[in-house]
Amino acid sequence: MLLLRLALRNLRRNPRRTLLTAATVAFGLGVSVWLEGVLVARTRDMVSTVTGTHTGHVQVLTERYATQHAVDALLDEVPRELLQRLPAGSKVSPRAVLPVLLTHGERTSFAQLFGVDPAREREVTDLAQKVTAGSYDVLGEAHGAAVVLGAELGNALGLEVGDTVELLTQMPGQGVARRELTVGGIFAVGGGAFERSTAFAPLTFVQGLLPSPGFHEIAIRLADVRLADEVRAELARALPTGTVATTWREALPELATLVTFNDATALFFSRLVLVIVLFAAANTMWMSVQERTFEFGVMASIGTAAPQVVGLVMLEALLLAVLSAAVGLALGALVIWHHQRTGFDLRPFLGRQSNAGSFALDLVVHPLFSVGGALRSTLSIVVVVVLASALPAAFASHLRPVTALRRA
Amino acid sequence: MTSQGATATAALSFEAVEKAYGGVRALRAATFEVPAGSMAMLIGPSGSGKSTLLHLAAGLDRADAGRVRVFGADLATLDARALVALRRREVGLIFQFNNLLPTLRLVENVEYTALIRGDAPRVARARALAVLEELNMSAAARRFPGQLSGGERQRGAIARCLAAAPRIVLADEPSAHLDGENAQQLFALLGRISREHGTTILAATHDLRVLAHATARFEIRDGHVHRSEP
Ligand SMILES: Nc1ncnc2c1ncn2[C@@H]1O[C@H](COP(=O)(O)OP(=O)(O)O)[C@@H](O)[C@H]1O
Ligand SMILES: [Mg+2]
Repeated sequence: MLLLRLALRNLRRNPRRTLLTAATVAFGLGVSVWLEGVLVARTRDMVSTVTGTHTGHVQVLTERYATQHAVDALLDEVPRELLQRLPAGSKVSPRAVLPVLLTHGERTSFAQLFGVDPAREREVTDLAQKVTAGSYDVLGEAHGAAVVLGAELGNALGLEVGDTVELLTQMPGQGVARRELTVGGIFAVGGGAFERSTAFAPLTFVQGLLPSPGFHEIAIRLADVRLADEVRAELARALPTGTVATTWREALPELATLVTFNDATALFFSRLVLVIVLFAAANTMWMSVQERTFEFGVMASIGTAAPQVVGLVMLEALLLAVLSAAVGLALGALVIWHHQRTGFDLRPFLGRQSNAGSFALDLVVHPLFSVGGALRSTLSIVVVVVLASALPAAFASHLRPVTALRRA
Repeated sequence: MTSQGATATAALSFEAVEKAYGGVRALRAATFEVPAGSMAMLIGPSGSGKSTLLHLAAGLDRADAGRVRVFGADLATLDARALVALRRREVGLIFQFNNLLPTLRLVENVEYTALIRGDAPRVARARALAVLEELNMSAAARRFPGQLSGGERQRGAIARCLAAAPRIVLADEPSAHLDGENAQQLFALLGRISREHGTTILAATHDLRVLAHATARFEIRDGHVHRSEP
């Protein structure tokens, strides 16, 4: 107790210096916690927006389709093993995919045509909510030859809802197939390659163009995207040979890169903060110890053992660290709480447009406060400050009392 | 704890002790004994080696040659840990100034030596208060050293020594920064402690006005120590 009081009062001895160091620690921790909150939320938003638009969290497909995109590399049915192994709350949408040419009057565009069952697709993606003209439900089988197009694709072809568009496609070893489709809906996701080159048609319509009615891919939405790797591993064990499972990371390599970059940025800045704090704390502790040389001599001469001197100096650092980290943590949490309500607008920093690969993203972030992450940052900063005091503490404890005492 | 070569009743004995700093020979074949329970004074001009002698006696520094014994224990044979124990239990030290830790209240400073000696906090506090009472300093117990007079600070240093109940107190010019009256009071107090507690005192001074309090006198000149008659 006396040691604690001694340490606390020693910190108050040079209040300005202590406050400046404490402010460095608090500010550094606050910024780390806030930045991590922003970056984690941005990652979460990116991943959920992009996987929610089209890919889902996990995909199951034939190995041949995964590697060669061969149109005849089909799954005949949804594998029974898949339905058995998926965790509760998972949703599944089988799809057939064809590369097609769409023609309207003089204009022609290349597109990926996805055959989907709208009832199941609605459970996996939220594209139905992105339909800006017409309706998503035209993809129901009763409507037959209807198509829902990306807005940019529609613009490129000069198409509006109700127009007719001609489709050309070719199966290996077969002639060219030609069909007419009615535009039943237009979707918009804020631009990007996906909106420029994607169209949806009823599943049975696309299957009718294939050599046999099957699926190219099964898109799966899990209760939580963080389960993706685990589910993939589980499916890899259970699925029959020739059938593979992938996650959004493989389906969207650009997004995966962006996420990795985001994580690395957060890590880089939190490390940078730690280095700055290390120097600030080391400087403060050195000055504080040097000023007290005579005092350490007195302490030694009345029977204070070296470990006790080390303990005192490091306790001073620990108190400084814990008190200022508490303030920093509160500060970071407060700013996160504020930005959770108002949103933190990234546009001034990133310019008007930011895409995760081929998908547009929301640029107003509502940061997340991760208790685990914040505690980890707090602990690291406390450890760094205490470590910064180790050398000054060793110096104080190794002072020869006679030398210290003669320095009066 | 008695060993050969030293009188059983010696609290401190030097035997042919040498200590040099580079070319400066501060102590040369210094040989003397301080009888247990005495109120001894070490007289010598500035730079004569008084501090050097006291530092060697407290085990704060090592002699180049010769033997330093505290109650029979040869300090050269003690390791760092044993020297810490010696300073906690056997030897008390008082300096010219800045004895007290500035961020501790007087009572906490006094408590400190009892605590590091191993007393329970409650016991240490009670002991500190009792010692301050004995030295008539209860009223100043809660003050910080900066709020005490020079005389009070030196008496506080004595109180801090007493809290650990040392067998010998080494005081290095404790009245150097005090006026005549305060110096007299301080030495009177040291003399009283020596008589009432049986504590051996060795006080360095070059203040001849306080010599009357001594029961033994040592003079240090050219690195040699002589016993002179009181
Ligand atoms: N650390 C040291 N380095 C060099 N010389 C020293 C050191 N300590 C003491 N001395 C010298 O040793 C002599 C005795 O010093 P000291 O013991 O302090 O004397 P006193 O306490 O009687 O004034 C002096 O000449 C002093 O300058
Ligand atoms: Mg001296």
